[in-house]
Amino acid sequence: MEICSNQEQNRTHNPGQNPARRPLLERLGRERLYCDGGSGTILQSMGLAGGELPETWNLKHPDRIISLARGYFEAGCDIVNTNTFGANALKYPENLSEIVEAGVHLCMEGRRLAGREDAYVALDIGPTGRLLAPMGDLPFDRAVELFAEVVKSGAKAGADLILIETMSDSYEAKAAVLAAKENCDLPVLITLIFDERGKLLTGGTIESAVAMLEGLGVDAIGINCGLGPAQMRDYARRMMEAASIPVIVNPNAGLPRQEDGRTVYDVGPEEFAAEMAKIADLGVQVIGGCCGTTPEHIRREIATTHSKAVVLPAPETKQKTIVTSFSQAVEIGDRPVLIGERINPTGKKRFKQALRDHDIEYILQQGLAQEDAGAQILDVNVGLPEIDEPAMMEEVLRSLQSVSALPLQIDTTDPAALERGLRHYNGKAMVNSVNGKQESIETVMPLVKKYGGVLVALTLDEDGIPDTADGRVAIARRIYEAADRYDIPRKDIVIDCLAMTISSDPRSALVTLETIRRVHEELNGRTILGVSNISFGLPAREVVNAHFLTMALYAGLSCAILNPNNAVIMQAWRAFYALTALDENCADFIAAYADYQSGAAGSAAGASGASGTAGASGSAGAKSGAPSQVLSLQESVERGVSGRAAEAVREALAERDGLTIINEELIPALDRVGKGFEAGRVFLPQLLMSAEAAKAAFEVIKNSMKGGESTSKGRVILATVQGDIHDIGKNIVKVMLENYSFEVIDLGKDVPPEVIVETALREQIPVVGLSALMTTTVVSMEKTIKLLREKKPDTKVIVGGAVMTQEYADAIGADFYAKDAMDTVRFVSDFYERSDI
Amino acid sequence: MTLIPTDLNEVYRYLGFHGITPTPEMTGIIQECLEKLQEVSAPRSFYLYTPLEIIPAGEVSTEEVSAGEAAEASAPEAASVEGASAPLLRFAGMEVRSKGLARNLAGCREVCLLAATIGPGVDLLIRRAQVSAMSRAVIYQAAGAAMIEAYVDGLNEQIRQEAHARGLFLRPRFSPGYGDFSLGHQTDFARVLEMQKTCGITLGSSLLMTPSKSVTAVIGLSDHGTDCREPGCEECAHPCEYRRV
Repeated sequence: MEICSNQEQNRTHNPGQNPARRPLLERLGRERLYCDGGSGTILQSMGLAGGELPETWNLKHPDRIISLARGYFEAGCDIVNTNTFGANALKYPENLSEIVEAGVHLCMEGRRLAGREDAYVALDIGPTGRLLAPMGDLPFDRAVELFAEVVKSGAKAGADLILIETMSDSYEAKAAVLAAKENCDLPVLITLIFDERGKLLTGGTIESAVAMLEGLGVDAIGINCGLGPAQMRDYARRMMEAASIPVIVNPNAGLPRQEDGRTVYDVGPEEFAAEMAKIADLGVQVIGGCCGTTPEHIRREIATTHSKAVVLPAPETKQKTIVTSFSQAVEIGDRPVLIGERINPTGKKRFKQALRDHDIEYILQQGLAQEDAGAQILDVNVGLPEIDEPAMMEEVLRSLQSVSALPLQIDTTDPAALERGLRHYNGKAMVNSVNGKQESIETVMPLVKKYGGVLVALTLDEDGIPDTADGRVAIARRIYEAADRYDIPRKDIVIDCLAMTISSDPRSALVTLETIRRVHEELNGRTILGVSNISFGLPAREVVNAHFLTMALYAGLSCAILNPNNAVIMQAWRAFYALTALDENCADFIAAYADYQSGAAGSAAGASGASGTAGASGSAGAKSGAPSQVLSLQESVERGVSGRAAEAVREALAERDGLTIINEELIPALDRVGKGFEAGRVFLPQLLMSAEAAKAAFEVIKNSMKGGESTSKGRVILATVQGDIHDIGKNIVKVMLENYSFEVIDLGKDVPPEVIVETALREQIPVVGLSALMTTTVVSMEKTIKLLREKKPDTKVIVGGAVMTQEYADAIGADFYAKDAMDTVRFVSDFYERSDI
Repeated sequence: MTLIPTDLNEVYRYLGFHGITPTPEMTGIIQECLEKLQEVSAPRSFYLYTPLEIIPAGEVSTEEVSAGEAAEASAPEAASVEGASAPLLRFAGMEVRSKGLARNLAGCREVCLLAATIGPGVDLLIRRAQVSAMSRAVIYQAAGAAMIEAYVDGLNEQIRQEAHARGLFLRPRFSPGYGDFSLGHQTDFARVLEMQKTCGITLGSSLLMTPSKSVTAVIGLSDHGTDCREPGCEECAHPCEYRRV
């Protein structure tokens, strides 16, 4: 919320609006407006050399830039872009504001000379050229800053609107939109570039992009570049079907072709205009062109389409409730949606420990296991009193989004954590939750209005939870009315009808079911339920939960928050889908239960699933094929059978203590595999499968230990150095070290030298392992070693990575060059053995 | 889904199998991983032909230092004085100083510049596996490397046919980072081929490409002789265990 108040101060008003120019928002969507066309080809014909940055001409050749803009204004364009597509501080660290301001002024001058004071100057913002973290290495907050600088300069110089274009990544698009909305009051229009498959570079679809950007409150959304008008038509139609706001379509003059080392576009003005007429017929409100199009293309386009529907029907408000990630869109509608509940510390000792230990990997494993089990959305709750919840929320969301494309539900009672999560989430999140209390509405709704989201609304208020359906429906109505006041579409509200345990109130399930039915039928609303509360205090909870789930789904429930790892619950879920004609040919049901055994075997399978121990590594081991004979613990580690290794260690724990098992069984087995690896008999994947089996066994031993006991043989810092984002080698080393009972402080990838040194100092860790993939990042490795030598000279530094050699290691002053993971294990083991003596 | 024919032996090579036959169980797991990779792969590529000019080392004035070489100066091995004495190559507005590339392109008057990727889905799969099962992650990593090479081999063949139709022959493809061909030139490739728009490839601050399974390369076209089929990886002086020969 602090951010909100700062924004107000930063907002720049556009003074001195020309009376000839009506506010853009009065016209946008009500009449057809025309954008400009390409600039690259024209600037090249004026003499722009290959490799020369076009924006430099704002200062070098202002006359040519004026003439470019003037050409488009004279052709009849209503919206003409400034020559600032590539202007950002990464490319122009010295004179960005000068270039942007000149760009705006030159475009305004072109407008004046063309006598088009009715038309608009659009501050053109293109992508940074860098991919945002976690997929790339540009931090989201930095991207927002970069765009904000451009927006401030452009708005100050007098632009009439912000046009963000050619965005190929939803996350970068979000950063640009936030920067625009936080730093000026101008209308914000955005167009994205889709490939031939209709996908964004990071996998987003038209539907997922529309949902996210409408949520962020853009004034129009569209498609530009990449494709010609003919290839773009289907995507334009899909965008019209998805969007509730005006749509923009700016195609290239066909697909690019090479001629003498230059890119050329073949579709001429006549053909282009004919194709654009078909796009106008779809009702598209704003059209123009992109690469290869000229003022003549646009002039013909206007001539061909101008008479068509001068007054357009208002954009239709679509009623779909959509939650998205960077690439997937999940609709909450007639098909019930399964939301996984396991990323939540409530009542889970191991999860709480993971939060305290900053064990992100464990949290990610909970997420992936639920996805594999059938979850469509993951609820994310990382609230624990002793941790920094906002920081943890941001990190967990980002980490989850680097391994899973499922949309996420931000589940928190801390407004700061909610804002941090909503801001950094890539997509349109689900928000859990608001309730009927005034304070809750006033805290949560402004955030959802700003960032977009589908909001879960609990039917409780200052007076508690009503014990009648009437009371809960009344709260639901009040929440809808509040959403109207905050201008949040009703379709983005999902009513939580609340399940209370039947062990304390025998009628509670009936009240919940009645509420679901009435919200569904009377309010035409979407509903949600945390199912498992219903059985609190009862035995055989999964039986009650499963039957209640079926009843709730039949009453019209739209989404259920539950544990997808529970076999009995999932049986009810899949059976409901099959029974209500939602599973075509019962295909999913058959696929899930082809090998189902009734009776004892079936329920046993259910029970093991319910215990939540079916971790990802366990299931991976099981897939590799369980052998028919019973393997010993050592054999199961050597052969890499995780499931059996965990089982064997459970049996062994009945007779011996954990430490003895580690030293007498696990380590010797791992040593044999490790020796085989070094001798070239065992290959890396096999070594790692053994490591995974050993890890499964360790988990069992860890869980069996009382507090205070430790298996740790020493601590090691691992990091992939600054500038390097390829960390698979480091992660392999981590797995192996943990196997040998070393405690690894994993600082991740792209880690600045200072962070490594600070951590070593703070935690007093004597061994640091560094990895680098490229010769260019070995430099960062050298810097890190230098800084370590200076601040903590007793540190032993191990280096490794694809380009590393003994010579490099010596040259940069490392203590040890590890050619592979086993080499590292050996060095660390020797080091700690020596220190013991 | 576009199937990219990928040689299992190449996957083994990237996994470091060194000619030893893997167990049937391991082969099964690798094949399963390869199938998943095929499902998520989204190959995209872009190439263009452009004239080439080679200026011998003696005739290069010392002031001519390209952006690429400036970037290289920060790499540890760039301290060598060889850079300045290398021939200068000019194509598509790029200036490259590289002995290795000059040897590869000697006698050519035209080059094909290429960028290709098998897409971001492969990286997601590798990252996922690093959380759930590291053994699968290394297989995806190796299979992905073999798959992008196979995809580029296919493009290379297409380019060969186009060249043959014009009576031209190909040199082995050569990528920034091979030998003394500075990785700094990745930024030139990104600009000339508009890699972000045409292929969805972006460069990070250390010039690595995202998606990680991507390739940029120069292929020389010469009007005499025959196609040279051996790849350019031999140019590299680094004692790499994945080296082809």
